Amino acid sequence: MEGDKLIISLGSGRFALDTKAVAGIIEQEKLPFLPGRSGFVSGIVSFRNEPVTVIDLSGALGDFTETAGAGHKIIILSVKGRLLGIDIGSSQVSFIWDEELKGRTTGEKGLYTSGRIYAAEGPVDIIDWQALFNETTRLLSTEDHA
Amino acid sequence: MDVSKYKALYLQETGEHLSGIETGLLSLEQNPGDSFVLDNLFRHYHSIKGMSASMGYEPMMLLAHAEEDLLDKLRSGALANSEEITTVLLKCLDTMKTLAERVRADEPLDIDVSALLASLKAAAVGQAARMPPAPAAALASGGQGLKLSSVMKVEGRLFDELLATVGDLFMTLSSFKTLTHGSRSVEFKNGVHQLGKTVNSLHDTIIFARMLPLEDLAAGLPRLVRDLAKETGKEVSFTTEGMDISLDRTILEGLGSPLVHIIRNAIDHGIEQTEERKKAGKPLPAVISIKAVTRKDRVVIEVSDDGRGIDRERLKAKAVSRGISAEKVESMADRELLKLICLPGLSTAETVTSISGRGVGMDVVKEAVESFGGSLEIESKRYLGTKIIMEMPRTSSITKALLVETGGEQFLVPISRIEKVIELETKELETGLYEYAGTQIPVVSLAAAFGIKTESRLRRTLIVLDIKGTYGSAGEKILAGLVVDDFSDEIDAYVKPLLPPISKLREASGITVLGDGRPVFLLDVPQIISKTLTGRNP
Repeated sequence: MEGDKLIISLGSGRFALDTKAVAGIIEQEKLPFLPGRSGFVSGIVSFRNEPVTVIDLSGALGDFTETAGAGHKIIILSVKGRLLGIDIGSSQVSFIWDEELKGRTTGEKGLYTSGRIYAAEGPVDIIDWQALFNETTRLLSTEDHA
Repeated sequence: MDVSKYKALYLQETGEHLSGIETGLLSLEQNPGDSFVLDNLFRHYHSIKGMSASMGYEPMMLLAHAEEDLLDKLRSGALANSEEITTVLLKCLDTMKTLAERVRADEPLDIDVSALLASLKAAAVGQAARMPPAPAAALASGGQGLKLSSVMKVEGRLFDELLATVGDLFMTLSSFKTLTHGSRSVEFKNGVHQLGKTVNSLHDTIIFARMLPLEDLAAGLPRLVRDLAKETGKEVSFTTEGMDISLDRTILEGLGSPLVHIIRNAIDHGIEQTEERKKAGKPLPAVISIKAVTRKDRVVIEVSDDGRGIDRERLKAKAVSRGISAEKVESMADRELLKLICLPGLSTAETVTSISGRGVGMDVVKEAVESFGGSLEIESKRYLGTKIIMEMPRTSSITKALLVETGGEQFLVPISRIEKVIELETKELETGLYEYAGTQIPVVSLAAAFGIKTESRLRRTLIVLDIKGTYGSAGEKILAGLVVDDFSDEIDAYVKPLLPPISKLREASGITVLGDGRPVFLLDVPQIISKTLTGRNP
């Protein structure tokens, strides 16, 4: 849970991503269609000529309605060749640096969160992006006969 | 058997062995009893003997055989090495090099090697090795300059990387092509055109270098059939057809496990024991056959057996026990029902054997075939046999595809599937059927299949497709129509495989990124049509 964090303000909630996993942030007006999309999976984009599946973060984490606005701000996560785009709508991002985290993190876990940061402005849940990736894979793997 | 196609491989392998022999013999002069060197030399001669016998290069085979005998005595200690023996072996080596050169030049191997053979035989029985005169032909070619083989051994990985690089070039080219639409510069447009020709040429060369005949894969199957037949006590013969068809190395490699799984299943569960076949009046031995044919840029591989076929009632019972509703199983079309054997863990085998029966296999086969953008069909007649049909692309990566649009979304349809593209009035497509070439073909709306909203239009595009391979049996084409809003360019798409989290998408077989950065899926049209029609007519 160490390392610099990118903070996403999503409605009333705040969420953190490890900056080491962030390959880039892109903005797109419309997400191309992804066949078989369901649940919080919302579409597909390309990043450096690679296709990236996009999920809607507010849909994945619950009832966090992002600020209304046009377009999609997508955070591209890349770890060990696995890519996932996280659509945060028009939400704002900021940072918490590693030295600010000392003694402020706990291991409180949620469905897609792996810990919590007790920052001065309030709690920030750390996104377990691997869990989101696995669930995305499951959502897109549903067999007809299952 | 025509072995000429293996000549380059023979020369490359033999060249390596001859080089190893030279190094070994020189090393042996320094350390006459070095067992490691003697073992290596023995292996080199043994390999040359085997390869030369297979190719019918008799003088080479005779020399290698006699040298192998001599080496065997040296390494077993029955004979002590001497300078004379090494000298005789070196002279033989020169002659072998000459013979290899003659093979390369397609010249007759009419070099008299009897004196060399006599010297080797004499040395092998402990007589002083006579210095044989070098054959005239060997002398003629002696002293020539150092030569490198024209055949290079290259790691397959390098070709994978080259192909990936060409794929990137294709995508860059696509970006440039997009830019030319808005450019007035004739020089720029000419440059992009020339770049396109060069990239295409480079791609063709790499694809050609990667192609290997199915024979390379099938060569090991007769032995597999023989061993499995012995193990199960069954009488089985094996036939092949169309094994000269070439496929991309990666696809060929990917077919290895599926073929083994299918043959294991066939012998273990499909083919009956001899007594059972006799009682049923079935011929002996049973037959497993592999037949390959090309269909446009794809290959269809059929693996057939004349065994007992799939027991549908047992299959239904197994499916229900796995949690699929009995109602759903009963309503399935026969081809869908048979495909249930591809569900993980579902085997109709009564017993689990060391060969198969744990239900591990057909799911792996289906997954492997589909991972290359292929499709799998199963046909089976009770008591008559089963046929597994795999339709695969012959090459990977660059696919000719038509860019289509529906509801503002773009998709690619492989050209190899397309029979005709027709613009029609929307009302002509509303019945779900369309008369084409004298028959009524089923028509599926892509927008409806994907749940994409579309605006009402007076005219739409009907793409008539051959969906054989996934829907329908062997024989003539199986046609169906896919309705889209519009179509645009035919493109050479660098199609990437679907990786997690989209690796299990059933409606697409790959994805490409267009020049403007848009990701576009290559549709698995037979899958989409099959799924929609199954839902329409349960």
